[in-house]
Amino acid sequence: MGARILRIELRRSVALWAALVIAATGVFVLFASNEPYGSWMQLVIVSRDIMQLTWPLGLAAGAWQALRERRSKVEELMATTPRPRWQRVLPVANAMAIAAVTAYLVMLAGAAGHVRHIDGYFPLGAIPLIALGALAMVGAVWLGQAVGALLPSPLTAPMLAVVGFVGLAVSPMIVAQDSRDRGAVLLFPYLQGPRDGGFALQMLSTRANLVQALWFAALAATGLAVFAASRPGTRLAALLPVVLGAAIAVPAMPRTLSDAWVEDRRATEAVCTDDEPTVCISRLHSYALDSMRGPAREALSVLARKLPPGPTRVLVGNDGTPGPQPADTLIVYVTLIESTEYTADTLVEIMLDGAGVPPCAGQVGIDPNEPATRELPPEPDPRYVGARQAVTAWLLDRRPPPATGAKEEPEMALARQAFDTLAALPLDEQRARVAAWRDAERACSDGDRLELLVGTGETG
Amino acid sequence: MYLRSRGVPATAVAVLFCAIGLWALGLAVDHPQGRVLVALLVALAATTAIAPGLAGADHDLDRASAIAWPPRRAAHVTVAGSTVLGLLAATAFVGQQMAGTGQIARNVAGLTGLVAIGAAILGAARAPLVPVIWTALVLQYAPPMGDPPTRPAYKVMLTWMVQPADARAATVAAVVLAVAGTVAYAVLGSRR
Repeated sequence: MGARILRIELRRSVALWAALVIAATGVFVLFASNEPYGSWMQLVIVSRDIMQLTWPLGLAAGAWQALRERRSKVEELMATTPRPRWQRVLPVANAMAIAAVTAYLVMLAGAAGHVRHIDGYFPLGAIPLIALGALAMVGAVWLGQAVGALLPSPLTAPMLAVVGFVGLAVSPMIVAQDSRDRGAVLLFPYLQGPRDGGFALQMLSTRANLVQALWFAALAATGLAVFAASRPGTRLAALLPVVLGAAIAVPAMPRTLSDAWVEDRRATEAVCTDDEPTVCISRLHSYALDSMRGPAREALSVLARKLPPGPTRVLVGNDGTPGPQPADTLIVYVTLIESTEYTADTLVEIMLDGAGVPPCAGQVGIDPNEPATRELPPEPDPRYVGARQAVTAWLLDRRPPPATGAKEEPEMALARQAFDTLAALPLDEQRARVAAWRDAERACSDGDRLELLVGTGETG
Repeated sequence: MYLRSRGVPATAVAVLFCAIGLWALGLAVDHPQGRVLVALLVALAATTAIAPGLAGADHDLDRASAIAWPPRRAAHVTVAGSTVLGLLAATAFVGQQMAGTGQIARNVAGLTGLVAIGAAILGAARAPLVPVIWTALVLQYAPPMGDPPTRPAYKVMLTWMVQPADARAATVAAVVLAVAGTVAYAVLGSRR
């Protein structure tokens, strides 16, 4: 019986249409407002963030549904039936809840086409985010139905939508006026991503997830109870869940938003290839492993040929700072800029940069692996950079190209000069000098790097 | 009696509340972009409030009556839009100004047109869906905190409600919507 009514309500009520409108709007916004998403986590977080939009729409859909009987002018007729109100409205509330969840999931599935690497890493931390988004949508329609039942006017639904926008879109501005990032924003149905923008590597802490789950569930329960209640007394009692929820959620809330976002350790873990040569990359970028394999093999063989003993494995780092480097590992810091395609040649070049030794801190100007800071980095030393480029060129057997433009960077001239000097020497001497340079670079010792390559007194 | 039958008292109260809300939020929100956003959303709320009045209580009865509906409908939309505009603009004189009067006028005109189009296509009760969805999409596409697109012209026209007051294409878009909405509603009336 219940299932049959539910089926009829799903088909005949506004549920289907509401789900369609919400999902379509959401998909449009997810596609239109952002570049393709670099990771699944980013899509999931953004889909929660745009609940600024979808949540008020859910609210309006609920309110619209609640007015059905009045619109059809059967309100009084229905009120005379002996069946209690909660039994009558439960199926339609369920239908709306199903619609809300469906809308959210369809929206996510539709926007999956906008994820750059659809086979990329799907973090476990995304699952509670999705579940909470769906729960918040259920809360939206039930609250909307409650408000619609309390204020049965044709104006209710559009007004709720607009008031919802005002509340959710303007509230961040008011909250953001505080310089501190308040944890209280977690009480809102939409979710603000981590402040530093590192979407891909973070997830919401268990505590924040639990608090949100409790709060959203309390909101939804109150919405449903108010909608199903028929007497003022029971309606008042129906506020109990939300009061209880607030009483627990507010003190248990993480103090700040940055407390709520924690690092996703699995995302940064290295995954490696099984066969030789071993190429490792963070799980987040594991989709790039295949394209890395060929260049890595080539880079390793070049190093083994020209600068023995060469390293045997390649660790493609993307995030984080260069740490101490074991001699058998080639650590490559490739900043995989999402929108750039890397050819195999470029990758080999990047891997052989400075013979695979990461530059020492503060020597090359802006470090792409460091978050951008306010103060300008120290000016790069052209002799240091020139030496690195000369070594890279020597490994690749490729003379640094002469300047094409009017103005040439000083390090390029130095690099070409050093390359020529180096190439004129006997092979053993070349190898010895580059090895000495590499040792100095690994230890980040002081002293002029260019001198190590071209010999004292010859640089002028 | 015509006014009563079209739910004008409720609408008037709602619009009045919007105006008061605009004034109150004007005191609360300092952020300049936020003020424009609030002004837009309040204009949206106020214009959607006129939607239910665009249909009579009984569709068939209205059709059967020997009244020349088109001019009356056109007058209804125009008067409703002007009233909303007048009330919202009045807040600018009472308190601090939220957004330029020109901007409010443009937005109210365009949104009223959209409501009228919505009434003609979807029926008066569902009419608010059109302006609400459009505005919502624009707000998400052109982020409320950022600057609206300035080129090409079709983007300016699509995001007319968040453009600055001197964007010609946006004004054109709003006027076109207002005229089209009024004409469509005057000719077709509200769908049941």
